[in-house]
Amino acid sequence: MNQSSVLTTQDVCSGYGTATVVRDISVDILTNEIVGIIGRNGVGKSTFVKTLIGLIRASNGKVTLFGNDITNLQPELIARKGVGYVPQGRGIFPGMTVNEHLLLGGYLQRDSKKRSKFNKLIFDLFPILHERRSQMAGSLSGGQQEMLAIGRALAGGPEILILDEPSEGVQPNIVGQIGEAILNFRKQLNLSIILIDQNASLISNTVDRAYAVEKGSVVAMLDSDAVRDEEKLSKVLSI
Amino acid sequence: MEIAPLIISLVYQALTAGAFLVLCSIGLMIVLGMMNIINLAHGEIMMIGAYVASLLVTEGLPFFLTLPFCFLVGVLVGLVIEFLFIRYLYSRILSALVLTWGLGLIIAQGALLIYGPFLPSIKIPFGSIEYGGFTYSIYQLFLIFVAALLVALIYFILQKTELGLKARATMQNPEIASTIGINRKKMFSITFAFGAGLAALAGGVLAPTTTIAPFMGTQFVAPAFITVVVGGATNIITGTLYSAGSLAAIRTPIGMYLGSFAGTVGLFFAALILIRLYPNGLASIRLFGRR
Ligand SMILES: Nc1ncnc2c1ncn2[C@@H]1O[C@H](COP(=O)(O)OP(=O)(O)OP(=O)(O)O)[C@@H](O)[C@H]1O
Ligand SMILES: [Mg+2]
Repeated sequence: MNQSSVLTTQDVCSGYGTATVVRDISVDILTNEIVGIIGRNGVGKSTFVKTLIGLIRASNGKVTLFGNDITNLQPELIARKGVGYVPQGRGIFPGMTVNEHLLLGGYLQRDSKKRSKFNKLIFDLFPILHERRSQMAGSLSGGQQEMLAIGRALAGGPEILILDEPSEGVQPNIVGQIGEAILNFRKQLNLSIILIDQNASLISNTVDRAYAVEKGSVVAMLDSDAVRDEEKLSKVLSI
Repeated sequence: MEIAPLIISLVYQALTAGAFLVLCSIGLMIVLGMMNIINLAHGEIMMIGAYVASLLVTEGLPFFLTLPFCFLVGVLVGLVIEFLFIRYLYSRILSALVLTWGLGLIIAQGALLIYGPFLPSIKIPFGSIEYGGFTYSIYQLFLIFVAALLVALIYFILQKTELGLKARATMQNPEIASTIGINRKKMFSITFAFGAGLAALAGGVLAPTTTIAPFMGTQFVAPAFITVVVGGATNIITGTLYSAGSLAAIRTPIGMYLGSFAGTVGLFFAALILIRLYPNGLASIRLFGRR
């Protein structure tokens, strides 16, 4: 396998006001790889990925995408370069329909043929979205909103997709469905994926490896054997 | 007295009153509903529209050809105000309110200094027609048409165009909108400029019906705010339509029988009661199930 780097960070620090939350995180995500970022509540996982996509300023360090420096670019520019983001809490637009979300995501792709190809793929992955396509997103269930947020990000045709806690507030059987969908679209689209989650079975069923984060720093790298070991995972997730 | 002409006359007056409210409020509604900014310079931007119309008519341009210029000048004024001030005041409602109030004063005083207390008024185009003992101004019919057209156009832009979808997404969650490639600063400045353009256009089309003077904006601001508050800013189109419609429907019969002052008092009372009954605005009423 000859995998090259898609997204890399070097000693990234960031935080809120004067409080530093993320301390010197360096990660490397390769093509077609699903990488977990795991750790307890409040260790700075969301803050880290928000720094990657330009929502929070990096006070130090460097973020590169395909070797190009994207540190502290505006979020819309980073999105246009191919970084998709599914926020924690889903971040749907409550007063807009399912279809409008997919349209909005799709504007990142100028080619209308590609857009309809992606739309078809999204509806295949999540048939419920097709069924509910003219429903207001605010009236969808939590799991459906999560699928919509994933669909919206996929519609833009990203090179790398960042998912922040897709299992949060979602029924267990839907979590399984989302896990399958992740594996499925990784294969079909040759995507790289960063998956933050605290659900041990979702992590062990999907990721190739994972970074364990504590107090804003990476404290361990779990290889493919380690992430299959749910007991070990649970320890990292709940110490 | 026959009943049909009376009903037609009532409907005409209600539509006229409703069109006036729509024209006064639509720009304000967009800026408040989309951006949560209370633009107290709204009346002065309408005044600018009327000034553009009057000055260009004086230069010899036919009145109807001045209207695109009213809109464009409004857009430019909006872009400048947004660029210089408003963009630093998002999510600071009170600061924006004080700032736009001050700007309104400066614009009105500036107009007074530059152009004096009056500009030549614009002759009302078209004449009038008579039917069943009542007189109808053709220009008022035109205003009803313009108001309806603007509402339809805004509906189309917001619901059916890429720009409209992006603007609505930005209004609902600017941060998330930026993560799907939408330039939120650009959306905010386009939206503010569009609202200002609409206000100036409204000032332009209303110009022939009123005296063109530096402080003419004040006569539009009260009805504009009442319409916006009664309608609520959750849905621009339904809010404006329900609100302008119900206020006009209340005001018109009272005005017809008790005189226009009583009509205005009735309008204020109706507004008070509607705000009390629907504190989130009439747009929060769900008539058609979803939305
Ligand atoms: N907007 C904010 N302003 C100030 N501090 C914040 C803000 N958001 C998060 N924090 C703080 O930053 C730290 C890290 O938060 P973050 O959301 O990145 O953690 P997380 O690992 O994603 O947690 P969770 O698993 O609960 O989502 C926490 O201590 C949190 O209180
Ligand atoms: Mg988080």
